[in-house]
Amino acid sequence: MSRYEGRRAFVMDSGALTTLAANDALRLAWLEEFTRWKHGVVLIPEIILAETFVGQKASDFRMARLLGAVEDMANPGSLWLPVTKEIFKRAGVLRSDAILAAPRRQAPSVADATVVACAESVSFKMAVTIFTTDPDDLELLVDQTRRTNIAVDAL
Amino acid sequence: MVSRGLGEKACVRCNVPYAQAMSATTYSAGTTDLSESLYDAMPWEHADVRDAQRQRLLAEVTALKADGVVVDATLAEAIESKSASWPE
Repeated sequence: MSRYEGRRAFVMDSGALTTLAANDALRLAWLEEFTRWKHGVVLIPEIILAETFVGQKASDFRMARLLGAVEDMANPGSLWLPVTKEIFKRAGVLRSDAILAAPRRQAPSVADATVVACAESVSFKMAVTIFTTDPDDLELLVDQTRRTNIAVDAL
Repeated sequence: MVSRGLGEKACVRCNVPYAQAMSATTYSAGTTDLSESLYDAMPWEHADVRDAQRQRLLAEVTALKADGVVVDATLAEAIESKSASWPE
């Protein structure tokens, strides 16, 4: 089966969204790639909103434009991954396991652990690629899930 | 304004309440089977919602190209090679 036929979720962390919003050529390249996946979908964990809007007009405008391409404005929230109590609890477990697995490293952030917990939940429905600017921490967290259909990629 | 809790929300596509989906959740620490979870009732589980997003992404691609944005061939090849290695 061609990789463009499979269902796949593209989960964005805040660094990935910020990078895409700031770089037109990179955004165009990746948006074209996403559209090649006939059954693909871009999903954004709600928690990353706290890291993507900074109160600067130009930066926030570019972020809003990118999110507008992802989200159905007629159905706000339709492409967001909600962070429930269960997701937060799972993020806590993953973060704790990651700390135990790599005690000499700085602990992954709560936001990163939450992104991975969201991605893990989605992975039971479809393959996932997490986009990040911090692949080392994200890979460490994904390793703790033991899921085999989650990829981590730096933009 | 009174904010609604997550349990009061419903899928914008089929109106299945999130609370209904969450009631089937069997998650606990050490159990990672979330297949019967909140996400069963999420809008993106519907093919038409995914298709609608794809159309918006295509529109943004068209808009960027109209603005004169171009993708270097090396970058396009690098992205192509990345996606080829993603596990199914």
